[in-house]
Amino acid sequence: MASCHTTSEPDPIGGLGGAGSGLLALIGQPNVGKSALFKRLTGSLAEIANYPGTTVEVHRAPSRTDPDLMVIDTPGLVSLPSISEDERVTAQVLLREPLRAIVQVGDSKHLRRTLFLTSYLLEMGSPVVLALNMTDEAETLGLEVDYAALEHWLGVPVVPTQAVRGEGVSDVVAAVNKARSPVPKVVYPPVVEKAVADLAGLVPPGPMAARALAVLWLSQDAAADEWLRQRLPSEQMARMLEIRAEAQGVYAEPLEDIILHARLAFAERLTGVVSRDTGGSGFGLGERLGRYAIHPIWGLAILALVMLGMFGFVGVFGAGTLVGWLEGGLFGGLINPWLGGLLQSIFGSSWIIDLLVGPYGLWTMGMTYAVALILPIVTTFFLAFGVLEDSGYVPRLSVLTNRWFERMGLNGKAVLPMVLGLGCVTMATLTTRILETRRERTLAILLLALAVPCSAQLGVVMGMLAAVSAGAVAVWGLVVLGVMLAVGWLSSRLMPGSPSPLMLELPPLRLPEWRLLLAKTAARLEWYAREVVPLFLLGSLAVFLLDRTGVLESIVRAGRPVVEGWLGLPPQATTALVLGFFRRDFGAAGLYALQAQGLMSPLQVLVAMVTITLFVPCVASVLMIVKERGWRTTVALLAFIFPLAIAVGGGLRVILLSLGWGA
Amino acid sequence: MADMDCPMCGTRYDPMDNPACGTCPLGSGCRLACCPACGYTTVDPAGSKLAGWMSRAIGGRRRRKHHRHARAIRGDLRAVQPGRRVRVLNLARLPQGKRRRLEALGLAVGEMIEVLAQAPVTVVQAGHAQLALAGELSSLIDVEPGPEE
Repeated sequence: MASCHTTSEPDPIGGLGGAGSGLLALIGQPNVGKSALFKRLTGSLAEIANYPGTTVEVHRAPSRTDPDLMVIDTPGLVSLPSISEDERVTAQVLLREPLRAIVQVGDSKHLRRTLFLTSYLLEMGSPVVLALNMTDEAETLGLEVDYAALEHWLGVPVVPTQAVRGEGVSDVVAAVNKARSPVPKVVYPPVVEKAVADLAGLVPPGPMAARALAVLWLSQDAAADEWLRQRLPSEQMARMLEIRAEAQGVYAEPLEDIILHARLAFAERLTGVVSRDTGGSGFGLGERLGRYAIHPIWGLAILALVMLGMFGFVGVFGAGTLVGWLEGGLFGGLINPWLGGLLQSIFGSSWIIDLLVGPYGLWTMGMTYAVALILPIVTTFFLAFGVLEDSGYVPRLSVLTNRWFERMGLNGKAVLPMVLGLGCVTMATLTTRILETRRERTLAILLLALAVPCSAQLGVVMGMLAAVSAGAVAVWGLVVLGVMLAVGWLSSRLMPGSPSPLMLELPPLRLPEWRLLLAKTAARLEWYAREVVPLFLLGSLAVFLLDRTGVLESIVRAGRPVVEGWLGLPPQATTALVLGFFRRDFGAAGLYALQAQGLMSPLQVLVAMVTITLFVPCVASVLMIVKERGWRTTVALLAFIFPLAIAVGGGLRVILLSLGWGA
Repeated sequence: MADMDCPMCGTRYDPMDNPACGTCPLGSGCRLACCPACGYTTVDPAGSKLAGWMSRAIGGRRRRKHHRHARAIRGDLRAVQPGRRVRVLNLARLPQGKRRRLEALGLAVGEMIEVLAQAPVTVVQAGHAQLALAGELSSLIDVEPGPEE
């Protein structure tokens, strides 16, 4: 089989760049441990999660053993042609990157499925190493794989691994160093083979082997089609279309099905030859719990327990105990008075004192909010959320909540970005890529921006409302959930298209590995420190400057009809709402301070919390929406969200007052 | 969803394929069906939860049994009770993209699968993988009882 594969020339159009001495791509189906292997190979603190969608972007980092070798962690790829945006990204990597080698990460439990993907990669032209991961789980299920036989049949190194424990990782590195370009193994029916050979003679040279590119294009892959149209003159494209039409004319079923079934047959045959099922013990308690977690009644009971556990850990321990120690004790009692005194003795009474430790000071507002108020809450939340992710519970939550999301024009998969949004809406906006249609992604982003509070904000909101009453927490929850459902329901009916039905794999329920959990939490905290703390400082600086120049007073005056008249809040709340434009939790922390000073009544606290919860999360998330959906959609979302938040907040006040609440 | 008889002309048709009010902007969630033969618009009781509860409460087991029997003849995965093992007969009624994805995940024609749950969605064990499918998809998968059934 002819191949005009070239590996040395970087792609002139697109590509990720920065190849160094070579690129190593980790490719595999979702949830097989690619990110865990990536972390082991690079030492990078990348996201490692148990559900599809974590690696929505291509992560890259230099190899630990060879700094010139750049390792790329690609999004999950089930099959080609690519269907989701995630898969298109991986297809682009294969099309555009000159790869030194491909490490396919496969799940040992699902050998047939793994070999099905191997059949594609063997055609790509780059050297391939197959890392068969999760061998421990395969053993538990009684699956035996003859690795030597598999290596013989595939003609590429096969390495058993347990990436989360680091087992077999050094063997993968050694195998990469000796891997050679493999020979394609799947033989298609003669008509398809002839079409592939004809097309391979027409396609321009590139990182992907001509045969693979021809097969991909015959299968109607959008990324391959785009790549070819950018490089081939129209006459040559017309000739290619003729070849495809000619081959298609022979079959009643689409060519992509003929190709798919040839691959499936190859994977089926080889699986039968190299593996056997001796009947293992199964996952026992985890399996039973997994089934209960999706039961319409028991599932809800388990969800309630999970929520209760999270509330206890994040709301009570994080937002209560830890914040009390840090804000009241360490910062309020020790550091802030000491620093104020120290600066006073150095600078006397100058504007620098105000800038650093004044009411809107960089330290007293920015750092105190970031470290004493928000950090303990996000730390506990990230830990709890990591447990949920790594245990395999989140996909089960998708199943359980599917009906609710269907009512909002989405499917249960949308629970992943929504739950992730409780950690950080910016990250969650990125994760909407796992949703299949543009319509679903836009809908999910709207709901995320409007009604999903991030962990930091949730903690502050819970802390403030818990001080009012349990009823206030319930009203807040019902209003926010009601707005989310109403907006989702209405938007799904106004936006053209229909929701795509749920199709999801449920990974086994397992105990999280505590080292990975801590590593992941540390990575998220590092992200928090890098991205959020500067925003807090910037926000404090902006408010300080607005205050010094008298603009803040003008804003407060201008906002009086809305803030005091419509929302019924004290004038000082305007500052907190201005802070809320930077980050919702920053504004919420400002309101927290007002409540602590006794400047807000229970009704005002509730109205303020509902209003600020419905604000856009933060500047970073707005920029992320711009990146994902463009300026026009972003401006439209903002123009809808801010007035709606104010309208709902004021409307709630009117309703509660008429009911005699807080009178 | 099962076929229904038009109360006006008696034509048997699939209400999912014949929704009413095609021009209404709020029509996507509408449960009304329109008979393709006479144009008579009516509600499909099989699509109503309340009607389902009512018929179970008053007509009980006999009707439910009859309903299951009707679905079993049609042989779609949605109608199979949890705990049963079935063989996949046909995936051709699924949208192409979904069908290929399912085949890649191990749910292919000829495969034996076990139904683990039917609510809130259909969950099946295919090999060592558990797959969750919305009812809208599982009702498009034709199956037959496994050897032990």
